[in-house]
Amino acid sequence: MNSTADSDLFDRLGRPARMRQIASYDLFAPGLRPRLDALATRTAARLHAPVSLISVVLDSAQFVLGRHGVGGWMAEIDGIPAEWSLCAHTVLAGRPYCVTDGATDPAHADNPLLNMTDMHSYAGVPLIDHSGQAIGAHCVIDVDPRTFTDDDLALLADSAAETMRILDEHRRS
Amino acid sequence: MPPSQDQARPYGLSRPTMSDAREAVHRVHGDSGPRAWAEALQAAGLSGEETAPEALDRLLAVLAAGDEVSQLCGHALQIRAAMHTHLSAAHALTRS
Repeated sequence: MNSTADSDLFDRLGRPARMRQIASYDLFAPGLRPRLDALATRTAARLHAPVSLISVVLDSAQFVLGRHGVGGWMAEIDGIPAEWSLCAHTVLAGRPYCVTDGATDPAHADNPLLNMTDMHSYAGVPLIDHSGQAIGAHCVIDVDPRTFTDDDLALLADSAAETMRILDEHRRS
Repeated sequence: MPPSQDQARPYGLSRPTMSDAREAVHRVHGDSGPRAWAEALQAAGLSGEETAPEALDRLLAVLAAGDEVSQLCGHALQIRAAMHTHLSAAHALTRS
């Protein structure tokens, strides 16, 4: 059973209009994942980050559509509970969201995801669809504390725009 | 917290229940949530009162074959179930 705080988060993420917008894309289309994996790889290289993800944030979980630098069981699950998802913060903020050092950030220090991985810093930009809905996020993750620059966020925003162009090719008619 | 409880909720994460699934289906479908839930239960041959993990698995299979919003709702629950399964197994290994 979920906690009240989690249920509130799921309610905010799972608004029917938002879920319908996400569902207007064929996220399981063959060929989509390799393209988004390649884009995540390019973003990671441009921002000199070991990990990059392209995700939609559903009501109770982040669904990873494209990734670079993630292997093993995390890659097999291809998702994260919403209450542990930093991309959920990006989506709900509707603008770039950064964590310089999760280990010392009171908002994230007890996040289990940070405790079970080496991740320390995060920068994400929302994926905004044609209706203005933040359907997900494109992010980079670093294993060291890091202050992301405006140039970093501009590069990430460029890749997010390209992500939306790719997703738009997979909109259901 | 007793060890059994730790293993049931590794890192505070519970395996999704039928009650969680009901909440999720109602949440994402809004006004049509009760109907969507009733149809999913009927298709899965469930009452909604089941507590066995296999019942949720049957429900998730129905959601995966349903309308697009139900597919995503079910996929989110599937991610949570998979994460719980992995973490529970890892937790059991570290305690053995």
